[in-house]
Amino acid sequence: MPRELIFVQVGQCGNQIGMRFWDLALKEHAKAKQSLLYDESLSSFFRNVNSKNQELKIGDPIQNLKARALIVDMEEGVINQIMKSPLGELFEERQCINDVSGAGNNWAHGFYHYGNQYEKHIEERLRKTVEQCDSLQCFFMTHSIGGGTGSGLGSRILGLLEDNYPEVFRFTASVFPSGDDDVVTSPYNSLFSLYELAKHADCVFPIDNQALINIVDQIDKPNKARLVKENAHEGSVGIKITQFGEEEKRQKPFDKMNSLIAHLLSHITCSMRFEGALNVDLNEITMNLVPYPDLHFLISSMAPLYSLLDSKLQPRRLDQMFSDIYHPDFQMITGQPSLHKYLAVGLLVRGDVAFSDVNRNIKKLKDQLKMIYWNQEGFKYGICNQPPIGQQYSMLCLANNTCIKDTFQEMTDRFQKLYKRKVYVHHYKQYMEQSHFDETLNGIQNLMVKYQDLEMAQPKKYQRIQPIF
Amino acid sequence: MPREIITLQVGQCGNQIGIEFWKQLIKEHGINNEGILEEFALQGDDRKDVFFYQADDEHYIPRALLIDMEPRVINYIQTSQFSTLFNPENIFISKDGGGAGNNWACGYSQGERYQEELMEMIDREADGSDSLEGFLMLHSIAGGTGSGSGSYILERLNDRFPKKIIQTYSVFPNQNETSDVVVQPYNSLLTLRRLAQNADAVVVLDNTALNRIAVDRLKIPIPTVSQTNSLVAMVMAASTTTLRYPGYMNNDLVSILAGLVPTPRCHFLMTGYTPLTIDRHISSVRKTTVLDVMRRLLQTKNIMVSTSTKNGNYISILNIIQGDVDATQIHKSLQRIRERKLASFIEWGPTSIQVALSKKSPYIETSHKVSGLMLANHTSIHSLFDRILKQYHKLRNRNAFLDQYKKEAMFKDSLDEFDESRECLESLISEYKAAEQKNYLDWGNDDNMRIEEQQ
Repeated sequence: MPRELIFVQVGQCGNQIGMRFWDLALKEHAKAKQSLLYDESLSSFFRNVNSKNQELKIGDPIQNLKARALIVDMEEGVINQIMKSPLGELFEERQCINDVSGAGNNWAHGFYHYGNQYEKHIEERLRKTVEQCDSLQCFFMTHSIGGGTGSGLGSRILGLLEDNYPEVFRFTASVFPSGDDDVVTSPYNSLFSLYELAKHADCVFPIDNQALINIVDQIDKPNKARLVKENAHEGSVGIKITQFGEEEKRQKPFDKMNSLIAHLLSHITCSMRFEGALNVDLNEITMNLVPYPDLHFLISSMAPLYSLLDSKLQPRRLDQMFSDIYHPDFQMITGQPSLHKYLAVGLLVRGDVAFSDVNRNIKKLKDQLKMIYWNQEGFKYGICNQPPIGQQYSMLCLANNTCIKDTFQEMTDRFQKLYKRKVYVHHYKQYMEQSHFDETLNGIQNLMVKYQDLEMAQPKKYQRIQPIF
Repeated sequence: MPREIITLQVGQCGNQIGIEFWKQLIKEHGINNEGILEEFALQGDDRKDVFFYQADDEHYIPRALLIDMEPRVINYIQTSQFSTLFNPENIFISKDGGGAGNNWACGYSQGERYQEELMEMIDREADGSDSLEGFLMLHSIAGGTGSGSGSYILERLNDRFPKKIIQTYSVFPNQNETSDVVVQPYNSLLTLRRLAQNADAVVVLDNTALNRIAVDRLKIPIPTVSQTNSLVAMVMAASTTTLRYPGYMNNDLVSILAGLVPTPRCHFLMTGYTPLTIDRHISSVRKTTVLDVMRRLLQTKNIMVSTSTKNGNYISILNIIQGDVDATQIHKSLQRIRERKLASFIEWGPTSIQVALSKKSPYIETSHKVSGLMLANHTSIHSLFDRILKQYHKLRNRNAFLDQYKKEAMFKDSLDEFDESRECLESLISEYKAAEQKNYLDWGNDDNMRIEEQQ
């Protein structure tokens, strides 16, 4: 029976990521199964309906695919764009929840005001979407935590998901603000969201814009001239997918960064949808990589990257991929994991890579990784047979590493800078109490202490009893 | 007098090995991929009914139950060339579709939840056999379904069919420095307790050794999972040849196991096979006399478990030799082995190697005259258990990853299950260590006296 995922895209950032993700998902599935039948792997993301809007079962030919998703935004611009584009056919009217004026980059506006206003509405729509699933595996939320809607309303929705469907996993891909962010109140918004994420999510994949820009630069470096002329996106797939969507003629600056995130999401779920020698489900990811329930922030890195956007470069050797993945340049969030302790590492490989390749490389690199003393062999492998688009093989590394506390520390410092002078606080006090600020600060500091403890942990040395003569 | 054996394949690993096993078996018996006897095989005198039964339409159907908590692997089997081979009533996929998520407790409770259906399937197969001998279970012990649901099924089988033999082929987690599942110490510990208490014989296999053998012996630089699985399938097929090609001795599972398992708890066996080829037409220039085969089987590098046979002693060995062999050669080989002291045995029992001769399948061409399989009970197997215990302690002392286990009913109130399993494993290790000593036969008595003193 199929195992479904429900996507929740909140806010401008979340929706733009979502767009790229659906584009990629359609291409992947078109490449994987040449027949036009609606099969189980498609049903993890899409529903099949005919012209009278009745559900079709698995094995029927594809007529109209509808995405299993909820689109939420408090201002119209982005949603209108989605519905007007060819991808708009994937969504029905009732999957979109929107308002007109937006949350004004204010977390409290999103969380309390819009949250209270739309709570029933959102629950109702959620219930409908869940009912259409046979066996729901998890909710996937994409949002940014620096803005207003994505962070505020997004956190509210996360809490709703936990209350209504506690046994279904909640994964989030959260875009953290980078050093030079364009939103002034982002320190407040991000810390509040972080607190909610720590409480309600099962697993968080933090991503930050600065790291993505670095990666895109790396890819573009040898190819800047060519890319300017061409329309470099993975259009070089055998089937013409005009039925579903065509390339956009001009790339927006954030498009490339968002497609990186889309690749990440597709990679995580590929084992659920396609066959492989060693399958890794989403619940296995939580089981193996989250030692204590609070410490569920996983640093993701992908390799090889160069041909994500341009498939004309030569593929590099397989072993190179393994050593690249531990390099900070390939991470989706800035940080130095090699200087800190790894609590657990998950490696998901796609394509024709054999088990012994993985073993061999891991043995070579193990010495360079500082694993915590009580989990020296804390690795989790997965192998999926279906390669990603445009490449023969690729690898995703999900690491639970204590370096994330440095990121938290920076966010807290920025928060403190503003909070000491109480700037902008009056905007938030319109919707909530000031004690919320202190509560959040405490919560995050406790979390950082937990990470710090683990980093400093040493195995107990037992004292030998000395005889007293 | 047919003695039927029912095979249970649980979890991803179990099903992947299982499909290779059945591939091998139908090749040996001359059955094609849909279960119909081939033209050239109509005059066989091999006993197909140990593992197959015939349906009304002349199809040979394996006596196998395919069990998994998520649909992918079984779907792969159902869409492969073997889709019509298995009886669709014997396939069980959980309705929940979520799988056990590498969580032993989740696998166990799903087994509990679906016990009605599972037992009904098993009963149906058991009733369909004239004189059921026992069960063969294929699974891994580090994951969720194979270990958790597998343990539950083991317990239920033992309750329901106490007189039937239960043999398992258990794949142990990687033994070198890296693991492929982070919480494998927890899952392995909990499963080992069930294996020690409910199974009659456990054949231990591990991925590292299988990969090593595939690379070194078969010269495949990058073995795929299906190639290493076919190694396991060859071993399984070879260990059941005496049941399927009846000869003078060892025509049922009981007689094979009786010689191998002297004390009920020391029932963890290791295997070796030689010469090894997989589907590749390499005829290696090699002498295959009985002495060569038996000598090679005793070498550590041919054994499919990552322990060294240099430390510890053999408790018992059974060699199954196939091919055209002269009985006098066997006698000479045994003598040679004894002279050169190639195997060190325990001191409290008979120190001989049992040899069984069996016929080969007439439908498969082999380039070797003689081939052999070894099933051995060796005390060094406790080093595997030591490792698992050490890793378990490291994680348990920090209470890491326990949150997911606490969500299930078994661990909601207390973690006693972990402690009980640990005690069981520790006593198993000390039993194997004691078996290396001369006074093993008195060990049980001394133990009792010591406990009384403490009280």
